[in-house]
Amino acid sequence: MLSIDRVRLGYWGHGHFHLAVEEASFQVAARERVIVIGQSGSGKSTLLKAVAGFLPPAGGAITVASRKTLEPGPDRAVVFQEFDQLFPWRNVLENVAYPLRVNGWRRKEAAARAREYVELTGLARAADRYPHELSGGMKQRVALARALSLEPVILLMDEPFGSLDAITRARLQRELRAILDRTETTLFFVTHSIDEALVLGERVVVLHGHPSTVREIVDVRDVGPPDSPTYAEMRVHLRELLAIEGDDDDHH
Amino acid sequence: MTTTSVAVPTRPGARLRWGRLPAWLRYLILLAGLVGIWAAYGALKEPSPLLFSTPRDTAQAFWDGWTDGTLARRTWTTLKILAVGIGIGALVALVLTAFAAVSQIGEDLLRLLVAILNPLPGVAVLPLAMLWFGLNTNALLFVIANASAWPIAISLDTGFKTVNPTIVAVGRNIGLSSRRLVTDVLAPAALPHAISGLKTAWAFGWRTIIAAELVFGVAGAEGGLGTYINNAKLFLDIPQVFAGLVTIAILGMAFELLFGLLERRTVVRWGMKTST
Repeated sequence: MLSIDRVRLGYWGHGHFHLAVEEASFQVAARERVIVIGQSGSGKSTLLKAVAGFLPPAGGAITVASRKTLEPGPDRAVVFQEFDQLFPWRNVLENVAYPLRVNGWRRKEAAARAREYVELTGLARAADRYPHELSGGMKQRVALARALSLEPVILLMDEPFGSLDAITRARLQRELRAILDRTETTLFFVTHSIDEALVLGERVVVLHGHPSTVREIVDVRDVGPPDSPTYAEMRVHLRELLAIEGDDDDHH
Repeated sequence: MTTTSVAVPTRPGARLRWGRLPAWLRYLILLAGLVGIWAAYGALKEPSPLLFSTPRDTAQAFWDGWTDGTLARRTWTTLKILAVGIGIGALVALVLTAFAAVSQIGEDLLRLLVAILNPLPGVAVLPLAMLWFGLNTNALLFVIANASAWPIAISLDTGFKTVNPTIVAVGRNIGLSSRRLVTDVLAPAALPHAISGLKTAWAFGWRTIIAAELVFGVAGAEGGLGTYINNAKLFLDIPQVFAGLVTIAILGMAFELLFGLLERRTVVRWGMKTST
């Protein structure tokens, strides 16, 4: 499905090339949920941008469904962290329907499908509201509905709940998991939160270093509920991999 | 003009009575007061009718001018030239900002042109325009286009530069072509700035064309509002001078309302601008 093969990433600034990811290799199978975790500056978002097609790799190859990804496209729909990723001049339903129209759907079918995904993400009552009338959590739901409605080969999420309060974040994590169960979407999710990775993921790719490399790929399918000893054990293990000191999950 | 009233701690009685009236009534009362002062001055001081026109005489001249079609024709002439002039200015601004958006040399050129030409008062180029184009509408169009192009260019440039990069990334992600990225994402995102640029252009253009007509004399068959005022002054028909001025004031208010309505329907409704 998604193959990241000896990928090297960086960007130009002040006349120098800054390396962010030294080398990363891993694969994501169809319907699998892979979480990429790392501390700030570990290049995890850079990696997502490269998969999305916004940043060409400086080395190695990224292939999605056996095709080399060169340009951004709706087969790799992205949910960003920023709340202002919606078009302010379109209401909720139009924000979801518009990308479908762009991709060749007829007006009626696009509207029907948009409504379906707006309902799936619990936004039915807000369908005709404009983005500035929505809370942060609702805006992220719209972005999720928009990305899902495109039925991407792989759904890319870049810390989508990072700017939300803890309660809303936990609720959206649970709902996202339920929605993914129903839609069988392949997920590539970037976060710095171990708990988020354990709640949502099947495998966790740990990026570490500066520039970073893949330190370990951990299977977290059988980790159990958050109050179980196996979960606590896994949490400790991931903290060690990330080299986090103290007891703050978000510690940098 | 604000649409919301903030609870400022003032004397409660005064605030309650005046602030609770609808806005249109508040402005109407103030307007009636101003016309009252105008009428009182005319009645008490009895100034020379060769210098001053009372509200009554002005209203009469205004009514006559609009019913016999003179003022309507003059206003139409002025508005037509203004609209075409601003249209040309907007087109020039659009081409220059588009060029500036895609190339460094374009950006430098835009900066330089704005720095040179924007501080120039619109009418300042009129003598030159008259030499180049002769005493015709083209000279006026040139002056108006020059007066309106630069404020529009500045606003559009700011508008395009301040578009939220996340929205552009989303546009590319959902598969928009470059052309649709411009028409469907960049253009609406820059709309608040585009409207404010157009407002400034309108204000500059309006002042410029009236001033130009006053200097210029007759353009075409009959001339516009500025010519109307100038001719009335030559014939010492002061009520007509006042009627022309009142027409200008009313049009100014009408356009202010029109732009306000446009903003409430678009950028304010979308939360891209907080109030009109």
